[in-house]
Amino acid sequence: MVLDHLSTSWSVFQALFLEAMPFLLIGVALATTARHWLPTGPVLQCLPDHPLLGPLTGAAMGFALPACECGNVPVARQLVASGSPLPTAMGFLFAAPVLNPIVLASTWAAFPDQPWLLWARPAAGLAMALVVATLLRLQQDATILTPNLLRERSFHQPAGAGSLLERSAGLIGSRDPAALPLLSAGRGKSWRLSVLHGMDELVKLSGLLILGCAIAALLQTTLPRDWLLAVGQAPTLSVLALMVLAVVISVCSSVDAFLALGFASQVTPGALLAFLVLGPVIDVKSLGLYGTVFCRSAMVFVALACGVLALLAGQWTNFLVL
Amino acid sequence: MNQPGPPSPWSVVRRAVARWPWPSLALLCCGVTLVHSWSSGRLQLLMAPVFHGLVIGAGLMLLVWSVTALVVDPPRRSTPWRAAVLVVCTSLLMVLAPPRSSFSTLARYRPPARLDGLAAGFALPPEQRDLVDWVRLLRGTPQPQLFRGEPVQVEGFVLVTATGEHHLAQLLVRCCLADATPVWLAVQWPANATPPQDQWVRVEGQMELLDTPSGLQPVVVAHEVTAIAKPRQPFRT
Repeated sequence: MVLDHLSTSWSVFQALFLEAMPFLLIGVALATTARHWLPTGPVLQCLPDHPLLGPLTGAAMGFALPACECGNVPVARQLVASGSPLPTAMGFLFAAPVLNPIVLASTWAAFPDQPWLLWARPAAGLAMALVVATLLRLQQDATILTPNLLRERSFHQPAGAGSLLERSAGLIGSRDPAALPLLSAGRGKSWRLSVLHGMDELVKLSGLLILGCAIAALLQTTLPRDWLLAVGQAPTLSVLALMVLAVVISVCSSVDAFLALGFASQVTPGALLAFLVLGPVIDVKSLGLYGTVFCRSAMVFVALACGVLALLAGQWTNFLVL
Repeated sequence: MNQPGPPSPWSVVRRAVARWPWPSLALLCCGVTLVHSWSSGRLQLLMAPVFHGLVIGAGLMLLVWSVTALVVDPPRRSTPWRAAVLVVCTSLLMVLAPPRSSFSTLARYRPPARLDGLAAGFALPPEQRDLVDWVRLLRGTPQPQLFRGEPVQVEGFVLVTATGEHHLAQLLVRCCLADATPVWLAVQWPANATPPQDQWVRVEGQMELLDTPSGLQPVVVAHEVTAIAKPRQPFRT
């Protein structure tokens, strides 16, 4: 019996890892290309820092660079490291997994008879990105970003943003490639450095992905979904149950609509929406990846904020529909 | 004056290992694993065919990337070697230990699949309907007695429920095993011939209805049960 569970968990782990790895590779490849070709520092700093325009710009970038949650974390991290305003980068991070053409097309393909989902899902995803990005904007960079990312970001900050000591040390606004060993292979640097840096990033994220997939696979084969779906028609409990399910299942946002189709008739519409909005942003598999962007307390804050917003979206939908 | 002693064997090994190009090796192993999962046919056990191209493409890209990096990457100290060792070990384990999932265990933890969007089998003669067609027919009709006595010839694996009943089941997969959900038919097995859990079988018999407290319950009365090999792709998409 235990062996059955272990071998089944091992298979689910392999399925999750093999499915997620190509998307992670696409994300890192995009980030590496962006690091090499896209302008850094001053140009990215021209992106809007406005609490509304910033996340909207980030969300629009998500529409142009379709990636699921595994792929968009490295791209968002690169945006932050390159000096982009935090609201824009956070808008991209939280909106891109929902607001992209592949995810919208799969939602339409899975639920052609429920047109309300076609606008409710992106609308709720965008609202979540706006609110979370605005909340994060209210805090200091140093309190939410990891020390490594903060250090990379500081190289692209305008000189006036740093302390006198940092400015006199030449660490802020520096254009000297020697000051950034492998950290920011920007324009003018060789492809070799970009490729090596991208490789290091991919390996680091793959390690975190492995841990996430392992936890998700174990939970999937030990936590009966019937328990969660048993509360399917209770308005609030069903939303909460589907939120837990979304976090545990950890499937890619481009296919989660097809998965939701399997239990759509057993749950309330609000629970369905909460599943489709929360899963692409927060799940067990991607929590490790977020650890490369946010410090621990910020991760807890982001997870709680997204959870509360998904709950509100689900509750509001149930209030309107039921 | 004290001379520093000779380095311990452990520190020599550590220093030597840290000089290996771990990130390149990790990506190489990962690429080999992705391509191997396809060439060995394991991918068909794990995910829907529509995603196979993505895995193969990613595997080839990882191979090219890692070989290029092995050529140009000088030994570096500040590489994420711990993560790289984890990737190398996991990749090797994935090649050495193929997926052997118990579909019955997996199905027991999942709700029954919805069948919208799958090809309908209404027009098929009874003996050509597969397990999914039968489940769709029986779910879709308020009068299951219409199918009483019709011949049944279906294949699937033996699902043992939490209450110990042995059903004939198949899994439906949209993306990968993580989202697999089961469909099943109740079967009345021949005396002393109930197959074991997870055994793939072909069942020939006829559709009957059992009078249960919850109403008339369709059940396949098996006349002949033949053990078959697990299909190359053991689920419906």
